[in-house]
Amino acid sequence: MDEERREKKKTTHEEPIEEVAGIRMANAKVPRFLVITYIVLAAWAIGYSVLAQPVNERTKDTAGNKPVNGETIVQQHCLGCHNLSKERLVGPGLQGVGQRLPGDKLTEVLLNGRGAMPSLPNQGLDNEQIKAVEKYLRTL
Amino acid sequence: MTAIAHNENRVVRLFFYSSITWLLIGMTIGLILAIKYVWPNFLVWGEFLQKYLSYGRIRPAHTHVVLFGWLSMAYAGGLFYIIPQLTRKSLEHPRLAHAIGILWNIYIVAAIVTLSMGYTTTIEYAESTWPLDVYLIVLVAGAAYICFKTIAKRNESQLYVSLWYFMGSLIWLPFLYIIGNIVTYFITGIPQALAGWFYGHNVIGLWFTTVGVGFIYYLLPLLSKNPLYSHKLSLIGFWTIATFYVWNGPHHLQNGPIPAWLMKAGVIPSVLLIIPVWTVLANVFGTMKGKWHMISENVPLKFVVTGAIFYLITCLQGPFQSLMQPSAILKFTNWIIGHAHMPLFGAFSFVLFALFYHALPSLTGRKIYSDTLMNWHFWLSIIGFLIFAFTTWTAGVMQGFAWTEGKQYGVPFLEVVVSLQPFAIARAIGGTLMFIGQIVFAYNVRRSIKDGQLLSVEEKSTSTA
Repeated sequence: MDEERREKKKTTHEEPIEEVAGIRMANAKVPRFLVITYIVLAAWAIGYSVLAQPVNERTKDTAGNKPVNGETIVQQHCLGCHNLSKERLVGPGLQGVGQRLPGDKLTEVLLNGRGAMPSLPNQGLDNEQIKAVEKYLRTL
Repeated sequence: MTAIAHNENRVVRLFFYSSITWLLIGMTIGLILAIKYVWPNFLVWGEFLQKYLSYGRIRPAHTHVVLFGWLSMAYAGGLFYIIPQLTRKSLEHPRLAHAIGILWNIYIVAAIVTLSMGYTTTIEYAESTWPLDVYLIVLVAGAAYICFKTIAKRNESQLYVSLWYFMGSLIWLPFLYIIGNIVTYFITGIPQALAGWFYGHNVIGLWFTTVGVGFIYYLLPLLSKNPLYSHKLSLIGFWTIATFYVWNGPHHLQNGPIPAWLMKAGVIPSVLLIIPVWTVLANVFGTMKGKWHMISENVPLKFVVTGAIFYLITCLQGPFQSLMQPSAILKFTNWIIGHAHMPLFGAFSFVLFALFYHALPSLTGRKIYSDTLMNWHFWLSIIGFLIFAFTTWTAGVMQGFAWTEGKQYGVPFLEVVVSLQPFAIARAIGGTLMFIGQIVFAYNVRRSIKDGQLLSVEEKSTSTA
């Protein structure tokens, strides 16, 4: 049996060689590893078409650990440039910001940014979070 | 084999020399783009340069010049060179072919000018506006007509496998091009995006890949002096790529606003492409059996085999990144740039370099000027490309994971951009090496035409066989 197979293997390369336009062309059989590859891929394709589920990791991630506490968000996003006291850092200190920017003015700065300060939506915060930030800032 | 007719020779040389010029120009633009990643104000002197060399304008100019100026013109030249060899028939309508070559160059100039003036359709690889698209479709249809007429009047009854690939590609390209460039004018929204990506991926798969594989099948038996391993395998490869490739478009919109069935319908054929690719590679390795030692001396053979191996790697990477989870991380990152350059530069440009080095002696009657320079071309190209590719892949993975952790907006996003600076520098260095390699190539070709050693009568008769 083994010998027979070895002989067969030898003959695959000895098959008649044709010549087309000066290029010689043999006719070896499809190697076994390729046949196995074809079958495995076909089985995978059927399985995938039935079983695969779309992913949406990004919304899952941001929906899961989204902070809605104004104080936490200010600590994460604002304190790089602002002090909680009156002292100036990169931008003005946050203490008393509610009096300095009364009413809609604070909202507008948060939504659109000002000078070098990026807007909050641009930092990936949604409306709910921005409202929480504004509420917290007014208590300072 | 019959000597190449004078007219046909002139046509092939027009296409080949034009394509080398576009290769240098296209890669210059590419290098400017890579430098802009490191130094965004590069070449921003005065309002004129700032406007016309802005990133968004010259990026499509780069892709257009290398795709349609370098690769496609070289491909058309290659078709006009190989088809007469395989059919034992001189090229039909050589004057028309020559006119197409000249008009094709005009197209590339017009595309660069309009794109840098800011006229764009915003659909990737189809950015040029519709009058230019119609113009190019006419040229491609003309080239296809010449090729088909030559094949129809052939003196060799059997069609060698390369001709199958060529004929398929010449039918597919005009259709793809119309869908991506013309049909997208009349539809909007998701269908437009899908039609755009149908074209965007298939122009790679059913033009650049299939003609390139046809070239590999032509070059490999001639360069290795072994018979092609298996005719049967080559036909399996042809029909499976023809069946699966057209479905690759939707994987570009993976995890986007398209139905789940369409995502799956984009993923499955992408993975099944492993079938034609491994089949082609089995044929390449089978043909090379017992001849691997030749690679060290024969630079064109070295280029073909390296190109085939890059084709294999591309088509392992591609199916992987089309899957939903890897796509969620890798999409829109630097990774994609590395991936896109692998088939077009690493695989099929390498195959073209081999074809040029193989064909030039029979076109000019002179040997290639310098083997040393051929080797320099090879090593600069491959080392430069590997630096370029691995930096973009690594940077892409870092970017992708940073974004999924929420660093997609504002300050955190900018931090990611800044942290990738070393990668941008390495990428520009890799690109520079690739570019120097092509200068060596162009110089070597130029010198071969002028000062290459003349072929003896005996060599002349065998050089085309």
